[in-house]
Amino acid sequence: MSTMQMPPALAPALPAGEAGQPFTLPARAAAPVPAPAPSWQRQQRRAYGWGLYPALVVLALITLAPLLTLVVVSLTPLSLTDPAGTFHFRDPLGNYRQLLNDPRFLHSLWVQLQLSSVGVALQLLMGLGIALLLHGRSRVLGAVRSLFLIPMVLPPIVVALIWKILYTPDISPLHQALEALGWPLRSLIANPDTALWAVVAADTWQWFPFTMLMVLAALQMIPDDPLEAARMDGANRWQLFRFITLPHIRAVLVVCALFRLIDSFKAFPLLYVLTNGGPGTVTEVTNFYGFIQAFNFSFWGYGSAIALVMLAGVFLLSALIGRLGREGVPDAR
Amino acid sequence: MASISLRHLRKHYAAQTVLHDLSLEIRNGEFVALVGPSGCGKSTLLRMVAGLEAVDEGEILLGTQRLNEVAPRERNIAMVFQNYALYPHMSVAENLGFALRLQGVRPAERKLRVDRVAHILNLQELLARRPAQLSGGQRQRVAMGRAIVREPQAFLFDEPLSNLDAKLRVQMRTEIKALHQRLGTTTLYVTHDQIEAMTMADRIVVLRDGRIEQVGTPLELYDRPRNAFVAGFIGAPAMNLLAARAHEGGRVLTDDGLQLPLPAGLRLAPGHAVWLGVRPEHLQVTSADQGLRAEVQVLEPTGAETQIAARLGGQNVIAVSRERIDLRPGSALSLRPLAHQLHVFDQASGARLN
Amino acid sequence: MHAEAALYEPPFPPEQPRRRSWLRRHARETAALVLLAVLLFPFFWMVQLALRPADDAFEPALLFMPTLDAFRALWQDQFARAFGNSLLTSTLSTALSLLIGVPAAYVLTRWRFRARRHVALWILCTRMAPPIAFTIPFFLALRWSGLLDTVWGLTLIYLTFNLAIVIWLMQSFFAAIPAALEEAAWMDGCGIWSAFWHVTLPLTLPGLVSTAVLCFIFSWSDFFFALILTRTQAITAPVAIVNFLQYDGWEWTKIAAAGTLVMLPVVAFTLLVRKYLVRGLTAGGVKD
Repeated sequence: MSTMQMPPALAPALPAGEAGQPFTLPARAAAPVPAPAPSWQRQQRRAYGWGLYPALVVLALITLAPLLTLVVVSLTPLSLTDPAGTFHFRDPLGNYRQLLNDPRFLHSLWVQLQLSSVGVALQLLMGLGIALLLHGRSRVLGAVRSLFLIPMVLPPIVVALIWKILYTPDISPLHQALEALGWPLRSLIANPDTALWAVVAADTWQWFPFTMLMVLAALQMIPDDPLEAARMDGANRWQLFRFITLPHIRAVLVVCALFRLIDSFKAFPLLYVLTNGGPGTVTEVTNFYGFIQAFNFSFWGYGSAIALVMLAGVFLLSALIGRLGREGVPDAR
Repeated sequence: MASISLRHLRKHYAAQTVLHDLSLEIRNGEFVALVGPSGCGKSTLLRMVAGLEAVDEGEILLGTQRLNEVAPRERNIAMVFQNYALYPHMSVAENLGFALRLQGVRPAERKLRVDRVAHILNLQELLARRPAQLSGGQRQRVAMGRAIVREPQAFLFDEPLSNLDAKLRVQMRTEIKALHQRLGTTTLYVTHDQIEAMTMADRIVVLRDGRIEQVGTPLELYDRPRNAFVAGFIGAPAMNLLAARAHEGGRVLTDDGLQLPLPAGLRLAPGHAVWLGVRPEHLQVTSADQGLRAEVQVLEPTGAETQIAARLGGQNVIAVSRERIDLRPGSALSLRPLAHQLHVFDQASGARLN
Repeated sequence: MHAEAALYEPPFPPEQPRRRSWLRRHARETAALVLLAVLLFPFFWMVQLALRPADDAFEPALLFMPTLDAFRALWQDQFARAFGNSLLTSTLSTALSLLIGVPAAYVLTRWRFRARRHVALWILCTRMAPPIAFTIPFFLALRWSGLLDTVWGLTLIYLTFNLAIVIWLMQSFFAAIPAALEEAAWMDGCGIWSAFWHVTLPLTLPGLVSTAVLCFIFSWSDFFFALILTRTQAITAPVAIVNFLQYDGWEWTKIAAAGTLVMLPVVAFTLLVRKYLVRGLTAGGVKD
């Protein structure tokens, strides 16, 4: 019984030397009726394709095309003051060379490092502490947990506004209270020594709920048994935390740190509203510097180069997150 | 014609072959059970018939129609899933009528057919409920009803009773068999429970590692298993298989020196290693001089019979007796295998020799 | 008598009822409430500032008569247009992202094709990239195509983060639906998308709604893209606020009112979807 059916067109032709013989098709024993095309497998593939390819096309349009443009533009000294004249490739790596020698760029990296490291560290500590405080079964705690999300979910511009109000001596309740108590304070954001830390404070206020949320979720997944066993063994609060709780949430803390680190590169509204990169360049992070180059000075080529450098840095960190995230939170058992 | 033909089916996942050149013919209206240990490929086979798995090589035919490339919805076959797969967001009535709605059947006729099936399966009061509000047995029946209402040419069952408790399982077995007798639709039934297969099927197919070990009626498989695997798989408690070597004079010798008679007419080379098979109910308890010496280990009275786990010739056996046995663990026992109920299998290949 | 008493005596000495003060028993909750008040004080300050009469901003007396003057002034001052633009852009962007992203998420969940992991990585990268990497090329493209300062131009660039969110979130929701349900639907007479429509989608409706809300929130809150890609026509609320700061001579009550208006939809929606916040914010980077 043949397992493959051959349509008549492909049936073997009789050899030429057998002219005169009656032409008969090879006998087909009880041929099964062929199913109507296309096959189910092809139907599936086609159906899935219709669902996926539009998204991939759009994704390519809005990510790959811009990326290509960015790379191309970064290889030119393109400037909007003379677009035709500055769009050439005579010195493709010129922007990158300039970056390495640009003190303002290098300074922006230093500011970024400070903002990111201190900010993330503070967010982690504060988020962790508050999560530990709020971890418990009570309606009050539950409501408080929800309310504590507010700083994080506010539109960043509103956060910037809130802190602008707090940092403007004329209308800030803090400044006026301090003045009333006899300790007048100058504007923190106008002072080069304190501007960056004022921004860090606002940033920490905005993002500690992120860590808090993730740590709370992880705390809920810690099984009761090890905690109870340790308690019966006589462990005190600190020991409980250090030997039982901390190992369970360590991975979450690391992932939190990485996420916040990546997001910290995007910090913009706070800087734009509070200090506008100043005073001077004290709070000018790399992202802000790129923004200024591209949209204030219209140096598109240079701005693109800065953007690409940032992109590369972020991708490295993202790869780290992807690897860690796949391993996930450690299994409790 | 609603016969199912499986011809030279092959299936592999990556490097591993799950089905090896499997061929089977199922007649119109037949109830065929596919049994085997887990991993033997029975569910894969069923899903290939349903269209949920692709066929790598071979053909599947429903009547004269080749099904290989046909979409599941066009095959006119209905399936009852292991976990029922009822639509949680639809009521029982909507679950039952879903296929009809897709076919464009008018609401009036839909309601008629749904009510009829609900009546057959005793689901009338449950029509407005959601699956989450049903018990396991009720969900099972809705799953069956969903298959029945389509009036397909064949039913496929994928271990439908494995999630039910023992008592419910026995009850549902009878119901399914009664349903088959009533509807007469060709049925392919996958299970790992050989009792289900024995009680419900017209024919049983025993699968192991993607190959058919034996096909036959339940009693054929029970009385003349083709190899040691089928012998040990069918029947509960399982057939006793005693390891022994052929000896001259139509006898075999266990390692313990126990002599057992071979069935008449079987000649074996001396030293030939065999399994001597005898079912527990064919191992009779006799008086001391008429049987072989054994030692009682555990007695399990079930009321209808007594299962005796004993040690015979250095090996563990189980005997089943209809009579009440008044013995204690450790006491001596005399067992005699019925001469015409012996099965001999080659130890190396497992093949039947007599 | 002694024996009788022994019958009624408890076998162990009764424990002394512990009389801790109410404060000690509720220490945690009290601390939480105090901390809440302190940490949210800046937020509440802005909101109450919006309710003050205009000249009260510089000398805040502790008691005042709340008025909606600031809001009224705001509304008359072109802010309504910006607010409307925000609404329009966010809604359009959410709808478009869902339209394109939901089917893609379903396919990524069910179809085991070889490039699957690469696509997943691609989407993760999209989510992680800093906005400035998109803004420069998009500005050039929108300017060239005349879409600068239009709602559609903004909607297009919002796809860069919304599409990734939709695909990532909906994937996790679709994965929770057992494939057996869809297989049953296939046998009952459905094709791939018919089964999706009749079975999968209804079961993931809560997830769909939450994803839509998250998309809306992220679109609404955007500042950077709107700042650069809009001028006067398509200006959104967050950018309009900054205009007040820079040009309107520091009318603080009006600014506070703008801030309050902009944050209201977001806070309301967030309380609705707080269950899915972790998933949305980490884009599946952490197993939940």
